[in-house]
Amino acid sequence: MIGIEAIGTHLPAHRIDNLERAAGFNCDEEFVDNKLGVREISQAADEDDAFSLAVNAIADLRARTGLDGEEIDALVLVTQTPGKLIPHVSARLHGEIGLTDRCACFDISLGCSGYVYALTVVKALMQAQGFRRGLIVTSDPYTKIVAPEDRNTAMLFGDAATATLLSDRPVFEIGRTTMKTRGASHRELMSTDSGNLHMNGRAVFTFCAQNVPPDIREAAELNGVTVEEIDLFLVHQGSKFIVDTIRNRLGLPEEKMPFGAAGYGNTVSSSIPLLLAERVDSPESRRIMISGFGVGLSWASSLLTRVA
Amino acid sequence: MNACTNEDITQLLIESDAMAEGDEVLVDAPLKQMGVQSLDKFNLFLLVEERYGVAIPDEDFEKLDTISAIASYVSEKRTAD
Repeated sequence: MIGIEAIGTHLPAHRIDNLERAAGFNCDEEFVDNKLGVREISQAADEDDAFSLAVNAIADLRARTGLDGEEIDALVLVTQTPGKLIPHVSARLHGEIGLTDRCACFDISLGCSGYVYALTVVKALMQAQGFRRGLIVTSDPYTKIVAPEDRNTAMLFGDAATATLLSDRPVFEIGRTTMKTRGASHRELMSTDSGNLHMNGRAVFTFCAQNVPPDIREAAELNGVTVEEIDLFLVHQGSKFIVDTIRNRLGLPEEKMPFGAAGYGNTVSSSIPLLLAERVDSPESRRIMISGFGVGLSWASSLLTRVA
Repeated sequence: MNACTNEDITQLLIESDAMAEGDEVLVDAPLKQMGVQSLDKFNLFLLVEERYGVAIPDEDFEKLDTISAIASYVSEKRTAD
């Protein structure tokens, strides 16, 4: 069985004070804390990019696990902000961390649904190929494509990277996954000609509120459990308001679907593994539903079950 | 076809936690004056669309900013449909 064995993370040290930024948009503390939920935004340094953030996340994973690069059969990077387009960032990572020529290596271009998609894709690849160890790295310095004067995005997005080790000695089994796309609505969340991120906040909110709760129910059913039998729901940390809305629509108590991004913001494909990393060694959560949603528009949900 | 009233919109604001029971209701005042934030308005309009089966385009969303204006708009849309 291929599943999640360990997760490394990296948050850049620098923080933007979101209260200060919000004051420029005539937003008060109540709005920042109770609606956005983001007090501080993590921001990569000017010289950092998806590659360097990823290197740091992999270093954290190695520190936690003592992972040997020669054991890695596949390296997959999820990013939408690769910086240099050629070559794929995962190839540069492969060289940087000294993986072997036998390691399969490619990037996946997905946003906030990317982690859930990647778990499913890489697990299937590893099982089909008989691989024993694979890495999924998420890395998106979105603050580099956010215009500081854009009210819809400047108070939300932060920078982070994560590295997840998939192996045949898992802590979490990865269940069946819903994987969905509504390409007709892609303009609601996209980069503009200037390269900056545009978000139609109302359209994205409505999409999430109407589609994510039934998708989570569908993923539960797909995995033979009810929503009530799930211990924890770790959903993409788009904003506190979106997480609260999804939770209310599912009728769940706050502790079952936490918002945990107050100290760094919406980190796109890294938001779920950042929360999951804190819980790998916490046996109280046996069944964890994960759900990612955003750019595409794309959404996906899956059930993780603790097996160790 | 049932009309949409000021009381119906007020109830949806309470249901979405944008207002609490007993809060002062100002049907002709901008929503923000009653503490309804921009994100609360997203949620209110989502509920309105779902409950009344009307689609409210973004250009109308921007213009509708009082309880009475929203109620009238929804009633007119439902009559037209």
